Amino acid sequence: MDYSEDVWLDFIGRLHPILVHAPLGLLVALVAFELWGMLRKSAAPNQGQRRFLAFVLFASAFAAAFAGWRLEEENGYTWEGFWNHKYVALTFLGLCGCAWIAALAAWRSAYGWALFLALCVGGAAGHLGGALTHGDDYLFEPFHPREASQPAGTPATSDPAPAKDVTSEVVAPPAPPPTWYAARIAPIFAAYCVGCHGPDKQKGDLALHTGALVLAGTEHGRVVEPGDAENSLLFELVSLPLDEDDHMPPPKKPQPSAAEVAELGRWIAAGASLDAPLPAGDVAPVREVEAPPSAGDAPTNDAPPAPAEQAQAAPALDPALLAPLLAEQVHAECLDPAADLWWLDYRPRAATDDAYVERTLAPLAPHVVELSLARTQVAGACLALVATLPHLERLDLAQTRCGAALDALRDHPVLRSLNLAGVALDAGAVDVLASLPALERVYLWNTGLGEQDLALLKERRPALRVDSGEVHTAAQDG
Amino acid sequence: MSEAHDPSRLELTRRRFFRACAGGVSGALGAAALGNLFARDGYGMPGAPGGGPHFRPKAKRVIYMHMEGAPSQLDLFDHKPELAKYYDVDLPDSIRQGQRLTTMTSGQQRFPCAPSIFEFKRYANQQDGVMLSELIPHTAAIADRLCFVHSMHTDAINHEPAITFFQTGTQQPGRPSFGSWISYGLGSANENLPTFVVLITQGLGNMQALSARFWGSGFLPGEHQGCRMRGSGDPVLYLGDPAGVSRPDRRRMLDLVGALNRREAERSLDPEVETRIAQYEMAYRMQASVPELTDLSDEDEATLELYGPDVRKAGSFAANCLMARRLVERGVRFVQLYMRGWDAHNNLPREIRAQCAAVDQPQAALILDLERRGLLEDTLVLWGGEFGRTVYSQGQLSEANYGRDHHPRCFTIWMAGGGVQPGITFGRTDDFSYNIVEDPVDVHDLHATLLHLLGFDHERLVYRFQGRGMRLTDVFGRVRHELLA
Ligand code: HEC
Repeated sequence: MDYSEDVWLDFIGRLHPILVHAPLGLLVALVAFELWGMLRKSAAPNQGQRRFLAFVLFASAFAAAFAGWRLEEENGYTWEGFWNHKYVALTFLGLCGCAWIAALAAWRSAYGWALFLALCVGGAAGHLGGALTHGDDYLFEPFHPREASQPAGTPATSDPAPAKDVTSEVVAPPAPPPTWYAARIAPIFAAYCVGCHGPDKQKGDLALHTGALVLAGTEHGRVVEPGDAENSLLFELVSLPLDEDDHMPPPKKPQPSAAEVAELGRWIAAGASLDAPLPAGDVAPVREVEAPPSAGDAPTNDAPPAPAEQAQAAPALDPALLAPLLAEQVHAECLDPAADLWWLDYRPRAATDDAYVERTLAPLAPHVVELSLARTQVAGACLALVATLPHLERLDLAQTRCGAALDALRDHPVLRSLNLAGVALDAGAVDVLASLPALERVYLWNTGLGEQDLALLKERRPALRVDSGEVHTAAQDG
Repeated sequence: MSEAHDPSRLELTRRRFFRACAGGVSGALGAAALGNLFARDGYGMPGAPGGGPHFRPKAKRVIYMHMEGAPSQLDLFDHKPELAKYYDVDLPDSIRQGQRLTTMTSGQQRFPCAPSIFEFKRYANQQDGVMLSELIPHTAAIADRLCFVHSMHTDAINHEPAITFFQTGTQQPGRPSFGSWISYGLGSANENLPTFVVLITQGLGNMQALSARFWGSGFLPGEHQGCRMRGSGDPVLYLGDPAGVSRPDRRRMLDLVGALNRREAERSLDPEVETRIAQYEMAYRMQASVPELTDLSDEDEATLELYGPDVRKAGSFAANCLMARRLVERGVRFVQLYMRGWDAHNNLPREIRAQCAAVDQPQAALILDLERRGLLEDTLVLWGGEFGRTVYSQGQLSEANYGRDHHPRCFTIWMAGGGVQPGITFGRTDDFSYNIVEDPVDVHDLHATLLHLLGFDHERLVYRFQGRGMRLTDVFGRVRHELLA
């Protein structure tokens, strides 16, 4: 087990939320006592009781303040709301002190005023403290219309949103296009790191409250390697498993969500620029716990090198576009996370027809690299749209009635593999197939094409692998 | 599932503890922080992953034909012409090198070499041809599509641990099956059918026990477990509604049970409750999808003929091969075919003849059928036993009869489709098919390579359990690029 050096002091700090109730409760009692005494002289407390109770008031206020100070030491709060709470609470402590002195000196009216002011200020301090844990808006939230609590543009993460959702705070007014750093990255540092790596404290000699400091790192070197998330100490430390000693922020501190960590990775991988604009689209699906996938997650030794044309696939696919498809059992799968290229498989939704494909495919067009329409009801009208998919490499039309509409695909620049098994074709198909410059493989089993057509295709495209389904087997030679 | 492997038991104590805390003094803070923590951990969260591959895959699905009992490489694939001279000669000590034996032959006085009595012929492939046995003419005829690995080896010498090793990456039972890992990593491609289906064919030779844990999901959420489909009777047990229960009735019942279960899931945070809900719903959808799947009336005569006469016999290897094609065609990710009966300790020639007659034509037909339908391109097919068989005879050796014991030190498997280099042989064994002399491939390497073809970095397909990241390849495995197209 690994304890912080000041376990007990840390523990006292955590008693703060309990201790604050003692002076406030006592204060209410004292004020009530005095008021009652004004009405019925006999009920008024005597001098000795006042002194004693005023002392207890001051002592309990002091204890609460001390605990608050410990809590601050441990957590290094920096945001403005905290300072408000702190200074109002210190004023409260001062007023309690005044009340005690007034009681000792037997200044009746000063004592009364001190109590009254302490009650007001104490209430305010309590409210500001509550706002720290429940959010600024806490007190008046019930009066606001509902939607106000979920500002537009909040990235939908699967995490239950922490009370203070810093990302959304900054994203709200999009008037001048914010930089990526200012909109998404700085808020993450501000929320989770600046308490220990900021203007007041620089744990590990590192400060993260300005962009320049983030890039500067420490005297031992950079913590961010622009363009290389995996070799960036900062990213490495935040993506370590939580139970790892070096994990940042330290385990018991508020942790950034997986989506926020992935965002850091993407920003670093994209060059860690302070001026770059926000990338279009939003949060990529967050999958792996061990290693959040990000553009910077360069595949290790065994993975093939990331495709060079990665940059051209922007803007990223908006997962919201997939939801209606998935709900209807169409399968969508990201085949290439680096290039954001997807496989759409309409086969599980047997009722799929041309209109449905046209409606659902169009918004996803730039991201489709493989498309399966086999065994659906499509009759070819949708091929006009299919032909415009810029990255389409594999198309499966097997056992559909698309044969007559095949001409739409003519000259498609990147189509590599075309499955027409079981599609009735006429001789004109040969010409269309021969026109496809990137075509490597075509399946023509059960298409009605004759020997002659196939021979013609072979002649025009000798390197094309044509599978006509005739069961040719390996020759044996003795 | 045994208690030790039930993740909810570990999970619950921790969760309950935190929930109790969260109700206390620092309620709001605690709850927010903890919610965050669980979301990050993702431990046991059903459906959390399944986000698809790490990088562009070559294969999207797998058909794994496991030959349970271990077929003899010597009589099928690993041609050893020199061996003829050693008929009934004891295996030289220089070859055996004191290697361990099973208790079935360790008592034998002699270890007489038994050359295969079957004839081998050369079949064209993408290299200079491959020698294959007369027992598998159909398979041999498509050798130009197959990748033979002659240099597989394994750590286990008995069936249970050896099958467990091939299926789960470890000899000890309890880890998730290969198919479960794929289901976990890729998720479902058709919500109406299970992601991982198991089909079993009874053997004609000596059979070994086949336990359901070979397709268990171990510590992965239960929905990733293999679903066994049967050849005869109800294809999936307990799927049909009892007489008098209509489909709307069933729907209403599921809605009510689902609501209660969800309440329980919220209360206990037990991921197994989510699994249960998912499985009820899956069963409901399968009531509609399975009849369509198993109705072969849309298969034409020529296709049925391709698979051979057994195709109409429920549960035969031919019928299961055809079903495997129908399953992958509908988006099932992992089809595991088991063919039992290869454990030929005695009377090997008779048993292996019968076994090969049952599998040869159907397995070749499956490859051809997948190919012409355009499915072989992204379907990975794997064929092999859990180990090989010895060159020396177990029991009496005669001109016409012999038996062979278990042999983990070398054996042959083959693969096809899905980015595998077609028409090659890889690895070499010595003249006795006893030791590997070139390019050994172990089970972890095989798993790493298959995962690679499916788009996974095997070191990153991880599930946290018992405090550490667990992998199919544990801490081993090397992608064998020599086998890739
Ligand atoms: C509770 C305090 C605390 C918080 C919050 C915190 N850190 Fe740290 N950080 C430390 C301490 C202490 C060290 C020094 C550790 C050491 O030297 O072993 C450190 C070290 C580091 C270092 C290594 C510096 C170097 O060069 O050695 C990096 C990078 C870092 N933190 C990043 C972050 C990031 C990013 C966050 C926010 C997501 C964060 N930290 C939040 C306390 C904190």
